[in-house]
Amino acid sequence: MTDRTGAAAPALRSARSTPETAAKEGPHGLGAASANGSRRSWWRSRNALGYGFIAGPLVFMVVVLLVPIAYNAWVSLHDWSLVGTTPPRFIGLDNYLEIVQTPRWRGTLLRTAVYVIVTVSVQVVAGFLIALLLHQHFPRAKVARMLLLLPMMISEVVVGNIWRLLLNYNGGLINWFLGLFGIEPVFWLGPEHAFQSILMVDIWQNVPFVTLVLFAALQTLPSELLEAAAIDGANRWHQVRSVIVPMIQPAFLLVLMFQTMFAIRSFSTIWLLTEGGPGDRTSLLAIDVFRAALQSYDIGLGAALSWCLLLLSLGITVLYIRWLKRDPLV
Amino acid sequence: MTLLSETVRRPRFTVGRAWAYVALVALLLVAVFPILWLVLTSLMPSNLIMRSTPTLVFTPTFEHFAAIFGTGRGAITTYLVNSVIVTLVSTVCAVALAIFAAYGIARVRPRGHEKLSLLILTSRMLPPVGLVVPMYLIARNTGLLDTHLALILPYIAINIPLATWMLQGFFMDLPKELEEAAMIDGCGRVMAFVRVVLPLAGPGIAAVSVFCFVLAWNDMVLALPLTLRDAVTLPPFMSQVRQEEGVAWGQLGATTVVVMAPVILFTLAVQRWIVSGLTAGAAKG
Amino acid sequence: MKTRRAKMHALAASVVGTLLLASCSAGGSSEGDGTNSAPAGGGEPVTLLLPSGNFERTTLPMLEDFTAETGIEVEPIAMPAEDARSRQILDLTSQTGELDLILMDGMTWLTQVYEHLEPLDEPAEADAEYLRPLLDMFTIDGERYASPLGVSIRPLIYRADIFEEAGLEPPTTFEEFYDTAAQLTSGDVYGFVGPYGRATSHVSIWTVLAYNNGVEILDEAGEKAAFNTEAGVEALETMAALYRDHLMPVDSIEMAHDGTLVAMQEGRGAMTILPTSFFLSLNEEGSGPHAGDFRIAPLPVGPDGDEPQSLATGWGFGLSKYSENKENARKLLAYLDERTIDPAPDADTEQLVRPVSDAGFQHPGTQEIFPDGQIDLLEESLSSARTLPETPLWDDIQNALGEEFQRAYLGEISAADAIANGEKRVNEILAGS
Repeated sequence: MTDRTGAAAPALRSARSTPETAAKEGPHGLGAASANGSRRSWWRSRNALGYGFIAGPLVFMVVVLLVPIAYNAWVSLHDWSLVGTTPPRFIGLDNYLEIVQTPRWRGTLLRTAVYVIVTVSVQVVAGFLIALLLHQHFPRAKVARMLLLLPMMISEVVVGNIWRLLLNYNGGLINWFLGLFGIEPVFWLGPEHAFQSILMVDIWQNVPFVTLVLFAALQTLPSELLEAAAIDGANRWHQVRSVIVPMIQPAFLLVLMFQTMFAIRSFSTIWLLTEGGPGDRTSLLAIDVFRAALQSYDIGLGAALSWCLLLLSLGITVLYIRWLKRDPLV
Repeated sequence: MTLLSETVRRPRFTVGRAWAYVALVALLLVAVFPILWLVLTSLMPSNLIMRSTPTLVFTPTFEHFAAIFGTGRGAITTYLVNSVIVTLVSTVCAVALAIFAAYGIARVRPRGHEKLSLLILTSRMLPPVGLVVPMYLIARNTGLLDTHLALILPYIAINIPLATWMLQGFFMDLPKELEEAAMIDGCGRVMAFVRVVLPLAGPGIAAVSVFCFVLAWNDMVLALPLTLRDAVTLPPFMSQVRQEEGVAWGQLGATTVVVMAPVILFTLAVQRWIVSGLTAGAAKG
Repeated sequence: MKTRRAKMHALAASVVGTLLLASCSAGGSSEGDGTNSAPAGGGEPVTLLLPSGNFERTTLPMLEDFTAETGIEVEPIAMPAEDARSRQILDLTSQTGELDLILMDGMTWLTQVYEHLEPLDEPAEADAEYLRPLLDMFTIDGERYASPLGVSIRPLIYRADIFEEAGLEPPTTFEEFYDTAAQLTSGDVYGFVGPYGRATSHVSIWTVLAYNNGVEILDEAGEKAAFNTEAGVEALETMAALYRDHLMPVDSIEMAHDGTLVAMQEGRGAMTILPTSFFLSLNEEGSGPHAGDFRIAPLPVGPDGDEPQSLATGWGFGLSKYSENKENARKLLAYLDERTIDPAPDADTEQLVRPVSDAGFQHPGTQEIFPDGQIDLLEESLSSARTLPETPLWDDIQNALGEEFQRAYLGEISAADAIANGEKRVNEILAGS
């Protein structure tokens, strides 16, 4: 750890410090020594400082995000349509019951589950492999990194539109390209392949994020670890599995959680590609939420579906945390 | 200690490395070709665009760019300015707030921090569609409808969870000894934070700000209902390519090119900032 | 160290500065590009949404002319139709009053918002000028809420050259429809190309075919489905058979109007059913190798129908109850009425392709678009036009039917089952409200 401290130290030596600051902050910063002996009033304790730091952002988020979420929960308990003048009617959990009892919604839940599992797995595996590739051979290739990030930078709306053009049966670039090799055009957005196509597009757009996060995590690994492992005679894959992967587990957790959340909420791209069709083959949860809320204007049902989505995400996240047996903060 | 990334490797042209090159080029192509195609489309005359045999060779035309820049009231410049304001402000604020929160959680570990983190995360799990109606009502009742703040505030709130999560990791990786050394030297805790932690968390902060920027820049779900004419950002403008008679592909291409440019510029700018932070630390070691 | 502090200060200053800038521009009007030199008519601008596309392009110049003539400012905001719809619902249900005029696409949108609109008490003259049935699109319970400013029907559009070569006439019955399509399918050319991808497209086609077979979609009271009859099944079977028996290109199942248009432009199909507003793109110079070969014909009639009917859909503007600018808004509506009923001599073809009045039909421009007697056909069709069922739940119904119908096209279930399933779902939807 010497180089980091070494870099910091010269800079710090020239730092000014007044006796006051030293007195106020110093003892606290040194941790254990302070906590025991002196009488600390609550507002000086560890908790207070921590909460102080967190208070601002937390209050902000509560007001701006949690209020709408609570509102959604409230709405979901009503039969509430934005259209027409019948006032909203409290119906308790009926919306949720409807969701569980209607075969069509159950199909949606199943499709969403399959979609999420496949896309997240592929993203994480592919992202990790690419991150490794970059890390080992091209750690400094800024241009390559930038180019690989491009899919993430364009909005979902553009992604949906452009892939619809590319996957067009009759003249899309993909089929044209396949044609060069003598392969028959594939009806990508048709009944057999629509589901795979939306998976493909989602993976295309999301792997960059995974790659970036895992790559950043890899960058912070000390090289002595790998060297030590190599000396021990472990081969490449063993190194990877038993050394690297555990060390960047927090990054994996983060990526798994976020990608699952994003996947469950997938909407714009799918909507623009297939609008949930053909039939209901690509109707996922988020699509049905949209249809309920902004096409049928039945916002009670839409809110209930949104909450199902939220609960699903929460459940999966808790599972991940248990599985990796980690304090989410590591 | 040397970081794995700092080990100088003399590139040897082994088979392994050659394959790596091939793989990288293939990956880059896959990542980039749809966007290249879009850029190409932005220069194609309209009648060539959705044809059976895609034409790769044609005389480029700037009609699509002219269309989006040239219609006075509807020109893209207004939306560009709005987007820049909303995105920059929300990104700066979100990252700043996230830094505080992440540091607080990472270093100080107040009691109940696990539940707190989960709460922060949960707020992100609701699909944006679910936010539309309540946000609209709140914005309307506070008179913020169709103002920049109407978008800035939600973007900050939406970005904080992701930013906080990522920065937590960074802050926790930075050993406490550094700050303690600084404080021994007489720095206050705050000074230690600013002078030691921040520069070293540079890469994390940079990465996080890119994500926040991209999210705010590309958001459409909130931008559409919360703005009407004064504070309209780029994504609602971009959606205008969905016309009655179909998608105006040429215009989509041109608009995307204009919309992507600032994101790329921002990322480049921020990248440079990372590099200096890293190398300064490494050189002395 | 000093530079670091300076940097922090600079950063803080820029943040504060940006925030100040943001709050200054918040609520302020955007740059006044292209300001007009109109006389000061005074007052708030009339705000309305325009659907991106043809209608927007033909309406904008009219708005500008209005401002030039009266000095009343207009603030048109363009967005895709579906987005405009949600936006308006939000505005109306929360009574915000930001929008003065409310855009509507025929009966379907009207049913969802009419309670928030002021009925129009237009002088009788305007009513007399429009084709009667078109006014029905915007009339509920005898009250009219909007004028039909840009109306399309969905006729049969066919390639006159292919038909001539094969010595065929456009089909007039369901059976002929199938047979003609079968005869004309060979190689790369299909008998029929249809937008079977989006529910709004293909369910509308089925609706008018059902009308043509004597079927009503909903019962009198609008509370139950009425289409589960042999005739209703036949209408669906006609459509499904075309796809199942490969008389249509396989990607029709995911085509929206634009995909269908391109397919026809490239000559992949002999017949199609598209809104008349697309007719221009088929026949104008340079739109493809077959430009100029397209003609319209009435839709085929089923065994239980007699006269061919057509489905009218189109745009109109209503007046929001919560508008604070009703005076000016009414004036704008009256002006748009004038310009639509009596198109200017140099009116855009995109406007003329959607005639709504006698003057519109007699306009030389319109006659050019629909030569050789087609104009009479168009007039006849528009005069007997019908609307979609009058229910605010039509989108839900359409989506449910769309899903079932697509399964029938794909051959997964029979048309009879699709209709039966559809009926069940529609009844559930209607009951649940």
